[in-house]
Amino acid sequence: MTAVPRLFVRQSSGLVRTISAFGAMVFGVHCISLSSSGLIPFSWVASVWPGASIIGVLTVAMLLGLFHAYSYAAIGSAMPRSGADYVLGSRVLHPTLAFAASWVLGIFSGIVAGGLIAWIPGTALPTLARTIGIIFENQAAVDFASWSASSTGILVIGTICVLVTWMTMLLPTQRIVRILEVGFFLGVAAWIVIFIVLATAPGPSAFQEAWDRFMGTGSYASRIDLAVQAGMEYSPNVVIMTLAGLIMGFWIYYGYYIPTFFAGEVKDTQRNLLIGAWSSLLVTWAIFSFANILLERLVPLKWIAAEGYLYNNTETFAMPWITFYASILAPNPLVVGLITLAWIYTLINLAQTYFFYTSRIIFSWAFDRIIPSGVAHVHPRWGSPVVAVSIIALLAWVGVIDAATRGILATQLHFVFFAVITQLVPVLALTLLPFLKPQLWATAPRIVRAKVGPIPVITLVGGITLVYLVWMIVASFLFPAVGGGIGMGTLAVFAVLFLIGAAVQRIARWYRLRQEGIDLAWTFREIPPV
Amino acid sequence: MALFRLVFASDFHGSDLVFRKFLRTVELYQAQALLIGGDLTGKALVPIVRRNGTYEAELAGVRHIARTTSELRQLEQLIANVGYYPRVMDAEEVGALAGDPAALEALFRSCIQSQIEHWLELAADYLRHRGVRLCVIPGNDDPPFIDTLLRSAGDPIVFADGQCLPLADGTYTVVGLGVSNPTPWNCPRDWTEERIEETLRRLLSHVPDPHSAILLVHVPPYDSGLDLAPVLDEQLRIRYAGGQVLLQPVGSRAVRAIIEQFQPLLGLHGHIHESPGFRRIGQTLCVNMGSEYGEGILRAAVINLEGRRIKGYLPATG
Repeated sequence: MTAVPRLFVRQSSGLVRTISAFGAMVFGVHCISLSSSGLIPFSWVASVWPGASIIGVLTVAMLLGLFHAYSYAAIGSAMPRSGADYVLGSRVLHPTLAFAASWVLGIFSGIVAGGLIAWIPGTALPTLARTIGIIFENQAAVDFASWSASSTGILVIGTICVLVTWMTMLLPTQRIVRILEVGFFLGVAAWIVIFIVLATAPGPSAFQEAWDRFMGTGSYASRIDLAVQAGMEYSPNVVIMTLAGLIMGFWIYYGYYIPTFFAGEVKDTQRNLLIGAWSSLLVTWAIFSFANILLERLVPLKWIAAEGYLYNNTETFAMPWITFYASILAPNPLVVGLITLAWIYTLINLAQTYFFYTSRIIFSWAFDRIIPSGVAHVHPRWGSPVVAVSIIALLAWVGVIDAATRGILATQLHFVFFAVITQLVPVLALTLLPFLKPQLWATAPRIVRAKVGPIPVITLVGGITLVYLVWMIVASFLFPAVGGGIGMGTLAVFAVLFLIGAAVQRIARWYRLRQEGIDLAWTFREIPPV
Repeated sequence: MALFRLVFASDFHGSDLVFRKFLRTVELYQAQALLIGGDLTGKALVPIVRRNGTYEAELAGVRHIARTTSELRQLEQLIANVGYYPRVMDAEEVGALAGDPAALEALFRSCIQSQIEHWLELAADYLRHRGVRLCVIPGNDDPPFIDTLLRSAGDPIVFADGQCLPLADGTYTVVGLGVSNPTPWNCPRDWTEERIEETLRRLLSHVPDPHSAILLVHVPPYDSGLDLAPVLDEQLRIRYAGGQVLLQPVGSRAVRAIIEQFQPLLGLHGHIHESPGFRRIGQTLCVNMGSEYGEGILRAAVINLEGRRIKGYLPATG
């Protein structure tokens, strides 16, 4: 029996959107970061919750991320355009509320890009330079590491990195994407080298010998005692592991959903946004988890926790970096050089993804004419949004200065708090979409319209995501080590930014109405068919 | 000086829902004129297979079954909303149609004609007593026979293709041309750049003040940021580089040259769905609102004119 055709197509033109599932995954992986997030599980998670299974934390965080990722894929599918989160929130809840939330996220993302760039001279370069200094007995590298981590070093190197990122972001999008893809493969290659080094090490004694060779005789055996004396309480506990996973999800995996911010450029959004977000989560989870399995073959978890604890809580010289562990096991210039190159390159990639998605958020504001459309100007020759990128570069520089001076924003640490609060708006809008805008929901793509029995999936998943987000806010206060010790200063910064955002939206509406006879509220209004 | 407000949209591609939303903008934004930039007709037909008293169809990978007449009407509307033509038939008819291109073409023609006539009737009823005109041009995907339907619609619907039409008591002149430069699909209204330039030049020569002209041309100007589309290979497959779609400007050089030379007040365009936006070429504001007809979303531009200037503009999406 021949199949009955389900569709007849006549000859006509047909063009599609641009970013593929692979592209969405590359953006997601870079925003999660193979470099910075690659260090966190072994240096930070292990020390904040000594005894918590690293793979357990990574897995719990990844599983929760799947729900959050679904919510954001649905947001991008419901409003497949730049700044989809803002667009959905403004249409479903309230334009002022949605813009204020988007404003805070956009401004703070720009500043955080600077905070992440400051991480290059503040942590990454010193780590890598010290590794080179220790392994190759190069005092200049050790001295450079110390200078790099100083306020002057962070300011100087951070400024150079901002300039480099800014200049690369002026390139046409296709070149940027190529740069990101090179970084993806370079980062994966560096991890494969780390895997090989860890997997081919004969056993725990080989690691112990390597450690003592470079860090001093007897150093390996003393780390746990030193950490315990400094106050480390080792407690292998499933509840702690789960709790840690709930909080660390954002830290480790933040970024898997960013293609939602440029959903207008993603083809087949409901498929590719979800595949991109989920696959970037799974790819990074697999890489970090496999690295942990190989590392724990050589070093007990308690030792990993102790080294992290010493670094984060004491003045003891400590090197809790998986890159260092691999480098001492294979102390040759090729291995160390590849890891160093990959780490620095992908950290720039991380900043680039922030520049990219923040520029799209700014685009959506300009498209709704809340800010001058000139901000979204695309350079005719380069094809890049020069004004938006330059604004983000300035914000990033503020982030570098803040990091160099240990300012009030402590951007990286507070980002969870800032990002999560702003995400409440679009996720709430998604959760309530079937009830507040039933017609919009009824005509939305399948991922948005799907139901489990009588309940819309987006309401169910959105509800779980909302609970998760609220917990993240609470946890930011409960666990200062993760939330950055949020004080009145930080709260005031958030409130002022939010109020400025609300004021910008209201003033823009008043101005357009008075000067142009255009009511910006029209753009948020549902258009019922005749 | 009096304010004149128009609403522009394009590329409905048969979406009944988008067209009916477009008409509603008159009421929502107090528009005084509506302009459509072409590509009215749908690209595909979904057979609803009649089988043992039920009706089955597949839309975007989802199987739908209607058991009652009311459910059948809902299914037809669902298909029409996303721009496809629904047609009830037996499985045998579907099979026969697949092997008979002439019959399929005739069926498409019948569906297109039926929908265009329905839309024109709906628009006339809705706009006439509101005193609002609807200027429409075809697009490169529209078969030539719809011109007759559009031309014969009569007031308040105005067929603007190849015409210079006064708007707002002659304050503005709509210069319409429903074509595109050559596309890889060899569509019915793909014209050479030379022919486009020659025609526009001739039309504009009839406009006393080109600065008051509203260019209603389906294809956007070349390299304007309103014309970015994927690069295709010889088999019309999208070209990728490293997993990324390659993009290039595909607008009309002739339209760009005409805009640069004559500097009309407005350039209203469609054609490239993926490249919406507002761009200035000299003093001319060029608009392409793109299209999301497949999602049933209207993308329109609300534009305020005052004398010889654009007082304000806003994208309206819903």
